[in-house]
Amino acid sequence: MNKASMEQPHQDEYEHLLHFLYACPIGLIDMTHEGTIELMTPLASNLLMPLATDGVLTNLLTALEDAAPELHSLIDDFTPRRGTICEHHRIHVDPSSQANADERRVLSCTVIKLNPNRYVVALTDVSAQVRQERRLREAETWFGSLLEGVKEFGVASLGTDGRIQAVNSTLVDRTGFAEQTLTDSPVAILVEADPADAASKMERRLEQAERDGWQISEGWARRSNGERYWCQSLIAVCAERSPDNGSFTRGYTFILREVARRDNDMLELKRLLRTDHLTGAYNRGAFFDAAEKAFLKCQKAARPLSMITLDIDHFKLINDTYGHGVGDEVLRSVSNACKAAVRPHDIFARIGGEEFAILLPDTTLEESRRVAERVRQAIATAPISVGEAVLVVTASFGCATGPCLTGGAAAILAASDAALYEAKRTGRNRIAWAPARTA
Amino acid sequence: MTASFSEISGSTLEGMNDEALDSLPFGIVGLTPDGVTKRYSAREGELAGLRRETVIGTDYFDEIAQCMNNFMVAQRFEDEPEIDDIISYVLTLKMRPTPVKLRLLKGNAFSLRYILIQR
Repeated sequence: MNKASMEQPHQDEYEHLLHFLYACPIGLIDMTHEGTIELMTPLASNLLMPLATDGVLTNLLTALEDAAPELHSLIDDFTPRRGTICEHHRIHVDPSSQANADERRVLSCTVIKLNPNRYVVALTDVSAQVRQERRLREAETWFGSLLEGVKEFGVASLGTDGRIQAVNSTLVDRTGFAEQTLTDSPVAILVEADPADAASKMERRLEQAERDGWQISEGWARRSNGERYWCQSLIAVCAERSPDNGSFTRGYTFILREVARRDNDMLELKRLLRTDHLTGAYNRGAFFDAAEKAFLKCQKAARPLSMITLDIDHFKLINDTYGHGVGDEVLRSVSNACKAAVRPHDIFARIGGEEFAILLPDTTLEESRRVAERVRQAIATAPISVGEAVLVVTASFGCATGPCLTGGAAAILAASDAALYEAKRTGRNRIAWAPARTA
Repeated sequence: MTASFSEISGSTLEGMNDEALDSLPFGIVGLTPDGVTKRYSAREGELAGLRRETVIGTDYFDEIAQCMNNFMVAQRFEDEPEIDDIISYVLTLKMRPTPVKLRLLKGNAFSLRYILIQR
């Protein structure tokens, strides 16, 4: 065999191999331990080039430094001589600050160690798959919540231009806008707290709904009285065939619901706003909120609602004798005894200097007196050490029950306060109660 | 007639036969508006390890140069009516990352779109 005929098949095979790799639909990279790229397929370069801000693509770990800083340590921490370091590890290429989740690019990255200085990396673009997963999760949440409380949803039908055609009563109740105001208004007025970019934002949402059939988002909204609230809204495309000529009327259905903001900072802030700093009990404001809500609920369900107010006996004397530090310790100790003695669904709050209150939903006067007695004993039998000395404090209690009392939660509180005064007057460390009256 | 990498015009390239194209010291690729490879110079074939006859007729950005199939190169040919621009780029010639200069040419005076490649 002559030399030329030996070389020709060899050249053909080599070229075939190059063609195969040039067209390979996966980014494959052969690199050293430090990340220096020895070989890579064109698709790898395509995926990485936008990340190589300096325009030089010689090191994979440098190119991915911002998007996946963890790769360095994953590789360093992998001690076996060879093996799979990570499989389908997701790398979010764009910074998360880039708002639109539908435009973010995600790469799936597999790294295999062949020997201590040779690694093979496979990269694929999985952005579309990640988007799909996110949308499925959103849909699940929605359909789950739909089953929980259908009455909580405001619904509007929209024309193709995004203007409101008709609304349900829940939407009117929740937003405070009159039906006439809403009709023919752009739907953006319901969900965008900032009118400056409301129109363009809503336009994008409608486009997305048009493309995918539906769109969900979450954000601030404003009621007609200016109050801000956090809500979720769903826009679904609807097409109805007219019975007359079979033509399609197109438009959208818009569904709105108010939700608690899933934001840890907000929850923490809320907690702080509701809590008395010294004792950790609910504060006065939180107690009245809870009391008003519980009153309406019990009134509607024709169930009794009870309140207990209690006041530490001779607290002023304790303060004057031992100082405010000891006074504070007494408040904390009494508060702890109360918290331990009330039932899980009762709400315990500090509503004044040395005055506390307990809200007992769905509870009769008899039961509330039993709870008060338990709390009274808990306080009286929990001595408080003050240096060498031991203090025994007591408290007086007033109980009252509604909602047959007129005047709402405040009336029940006033009645229990009057009973508390009675307990003080007749000797302290005891319970008095307002007679259960019928309306 | 100027035949340097940064000066040569699209019309000049279009008038050259394969032999003349092969004599230039940089790689040349000519594509139809739908991305099919029409011209492919010997210098470029040498860099990529491919012979002209195996590349002509391929869909260039899908089969040969996926590394340029993005907003930095392929998309520009779609979006911009005329281009004469030189950019720094990294190609994967024979799968080795290779820093190059690319000159992108698109204009009304010539029918193909050209990519000039200088190592």
